[in-house]
Amino acid sequence: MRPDEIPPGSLVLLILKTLDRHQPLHGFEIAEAIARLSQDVLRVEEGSLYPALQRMLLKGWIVGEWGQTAENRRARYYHLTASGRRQMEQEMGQFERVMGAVGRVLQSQGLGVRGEGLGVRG
Amino acid sequence: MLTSRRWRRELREEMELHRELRGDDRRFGNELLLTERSRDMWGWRWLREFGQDVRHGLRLLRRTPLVAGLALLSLGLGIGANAALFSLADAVMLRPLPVAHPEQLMQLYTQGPQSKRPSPTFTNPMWEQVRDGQDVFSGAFAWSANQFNLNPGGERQLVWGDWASSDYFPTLGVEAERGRLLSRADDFRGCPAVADISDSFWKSHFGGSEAAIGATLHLDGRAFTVVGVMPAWFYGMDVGTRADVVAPLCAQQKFLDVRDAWWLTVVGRLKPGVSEAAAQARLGAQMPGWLVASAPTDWGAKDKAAFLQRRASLQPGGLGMSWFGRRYGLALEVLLATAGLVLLVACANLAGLMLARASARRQEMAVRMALGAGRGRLIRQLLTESLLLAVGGAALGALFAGWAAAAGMRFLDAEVSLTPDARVLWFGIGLTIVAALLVGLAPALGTTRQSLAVRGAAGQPRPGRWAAAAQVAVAVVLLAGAGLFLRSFVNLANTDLGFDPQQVTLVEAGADEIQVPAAVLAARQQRALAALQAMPGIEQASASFLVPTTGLQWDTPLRSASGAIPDAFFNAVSPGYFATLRTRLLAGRDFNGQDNAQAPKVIILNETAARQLFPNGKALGQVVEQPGGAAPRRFEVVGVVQDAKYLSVREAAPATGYFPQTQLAQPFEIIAYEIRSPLSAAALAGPVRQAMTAAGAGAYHVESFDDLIAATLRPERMLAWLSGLFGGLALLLTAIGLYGIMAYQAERRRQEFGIRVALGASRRAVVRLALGELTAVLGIGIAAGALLAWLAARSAQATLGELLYGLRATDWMTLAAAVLVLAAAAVTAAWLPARRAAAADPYSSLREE
Repeated sequence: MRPDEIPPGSLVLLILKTLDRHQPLHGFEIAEAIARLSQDVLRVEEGSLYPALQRMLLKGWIVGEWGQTAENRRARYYHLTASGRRQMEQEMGQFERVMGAVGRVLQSQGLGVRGEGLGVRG
Repeated sequence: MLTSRRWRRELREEMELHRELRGDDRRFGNELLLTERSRDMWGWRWLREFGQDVRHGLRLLRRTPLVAGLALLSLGLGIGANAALFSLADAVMLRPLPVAHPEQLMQLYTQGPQSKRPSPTFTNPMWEQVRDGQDVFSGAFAWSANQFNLNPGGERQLVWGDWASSDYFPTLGVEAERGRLLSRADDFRGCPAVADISDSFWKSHFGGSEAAIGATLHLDGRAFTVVGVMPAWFYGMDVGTRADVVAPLCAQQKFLDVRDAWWLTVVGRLKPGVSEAAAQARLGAQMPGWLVASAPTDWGAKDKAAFLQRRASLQPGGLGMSWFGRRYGLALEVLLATAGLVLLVACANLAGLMLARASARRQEMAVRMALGAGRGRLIRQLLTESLLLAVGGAALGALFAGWAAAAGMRFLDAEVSLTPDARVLWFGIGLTIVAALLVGLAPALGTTRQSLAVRGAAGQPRPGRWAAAAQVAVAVVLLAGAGLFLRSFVNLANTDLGFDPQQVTLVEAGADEIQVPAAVLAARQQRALAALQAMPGIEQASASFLVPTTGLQWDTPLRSASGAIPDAFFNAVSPGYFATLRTRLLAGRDFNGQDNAQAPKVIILNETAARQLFPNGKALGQVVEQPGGAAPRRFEVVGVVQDAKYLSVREAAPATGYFPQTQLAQPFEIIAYEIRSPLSAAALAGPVRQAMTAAGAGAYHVESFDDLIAATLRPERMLAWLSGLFGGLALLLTAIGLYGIMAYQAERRRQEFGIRVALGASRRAVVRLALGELTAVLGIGIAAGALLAWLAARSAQATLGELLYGLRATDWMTLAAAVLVLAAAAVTAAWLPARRAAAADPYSSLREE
């Protein structure tokens, strides 16, 4: 099955959450982790990963440090900062609110025109 | 973090690791693009791209240093000339006075019923009425610019300064740098003689020492006490000169009660909340009362009625009085327009050049666009190259402009602070940007237009032809203008003055003789004249009240039985005046020793006066009448002289009458002596000093009459010089441009020419072929330019007429000459490379391909 596109705007949140669960990670490990955790539904395009990492570095949500992998290769490891954690929580809250609303709209049976009131169920 | 190389290295390393760990290379994507996009996250993309363009542009320019150098030079001269002229114009005409809130200052004018324009001058009695009665100004003052003589005796040492009323400094908001400035306490009848000096005068005259305060300063023979120093930034109300001395009005003892001496200028600062219209209405209502109270008592009924009918008006006074602006303003504007056109020619030239270079890069651009470069990006890059040239030119131009503006100041004898203000800077920046766009836009648009299919490169790209034609047209206009001003100046310099100022030295005396009894004064003047006439090495000497073209005038009506002159001009002269100045005597006799105070009153008329008063013929022996006072004065005409200029070299000689000095009711204090001698004014200085001292005369000033007249022609001289320079520059640029275009074309078509010659075409035919296209361009350009010049001359005829002399703006001969000169230069410039190409050995040109 072809992996699906990551919804725009969510990549940063995914990276933040991934780093929150297993910090620190380097670029390849982050991409792997997202693929694994989403059970291969989401694949991160490298073309989006590195620009996104740079942007997050600029905003100060993550910091990168050069270190050694298990095979003694040089790699840059990223971990979350306090401001990154705050950003993650804010974006998660926002994401849940939006997704919840979308879900409610998708599940609703239509507006109540037959005298059942104009409320939204759910 | 942004240090490029290290950052790139690290990112590459990261991505390599990722690629290795992933195990397949294929889908990693374009690394370069990835790096660029990552970099973009950090923002400032346009700045980075701009930096790239600048570096690239510099590299390109360095590869062709000759072209770059030429471009920088022509842009530098073009931008610099414009900036210099603009900063001159700004300093003397546009810049408001550096005082507090200059926009609140209003200048008061009155206008008589017969006058065409309001007049800015007031008499002191009028001013005193205004001062005591006005209620629309929070502060009002009167002043008069004057040249004070610092030397109590002997040769005059002049400084510019102001007589000023008590509220001069307070209204302008000027505070003393040292000591105190004049105020209300200093301005009352019979006040002590105190004065303020400028900062620069304090430094030059008193060495900047504290002892200046309280020191004595002689002004026009009277002793003044210095009480304060004005701040260095204050130049006074007259733009173009610095007031080095300011003295209170009450110390000017000559004109305070004279009701018909118009010597004061009045300025006031509007009260907050009072609009200009309201103030004008109020002053207009009060003026009649003030006029009644200050009207001259000894005028005739008609003149008095005209006086009382004068109306008041207000005009913004924040720009100061600029005699300089009035005199040179129009010339500066014309020159600025001319300099702008020269810049246009330079830009057109460079645009043509850039087009030629850009066409060689057309393929490169097409390939880059096919690879995905945005057209806008490429245009930006090409424009950056031309911006580099423009900025470089502007930097050169700024240096040139600074030097040129200072030189201009010196030439024009003006004293203004030349520190560039915001206006000049913005003008320079704007000009640079416009130049960059003009030079770079056409090539940029042209070369990025293609698709990859390169079109056959036959002939000149069309914009190049337009640029060449435009240059030719503008050059025609500039040459025509230069021709007009040059001829005008030559006319002016050679015009018949009615007298011969060469080898004449003037001694101007008596401006500060106050209250010397008439008999003593007359005797002193006679002694001085006799002493001057006795000097060795001179041919002749004479005396007169005023010297022609110095601006002084004496005019009243003059009547005869058969004619009347409403405004005739007069002079009082000694015997021998006409001979000294070589004004021809046409009939009758000169004054002689018999025309003394007891003899019958006589007069000599000039041709124009004689013709107007006696249209039927003989003037000699007739009687003329000068109205005035209790009874009109009568004179017998004893001679008629040739017309001579009076007010200025430009203006035609008016009807003039001459009286013998000895027959004046009262001798004038001011007197001038004319000395004709092969010796120069400098050589005569010593003998003159001896003669004047021996005669007991007061302060005097020596100068050459020729120099004086040359000084009055300065605006016209400046115009002739500079417009000629600009015209020549435009001609040179156009010729160079045409040469370049022709050379480039000939180079490209060398093979074709070689084939034609090999096939038997004559060299001349080939040259004609090469020139063919360019001739069309030339023809269009010249025709357009001639038409443009003629239209411009016609529409601006009135304004230009003020600057020209002896010919009209639409003078066709000048235009024809300009066209011929340009055509000749252009054809020569184009013919040389064409001839060289046609003369080339056909075998070598064929072999080269």
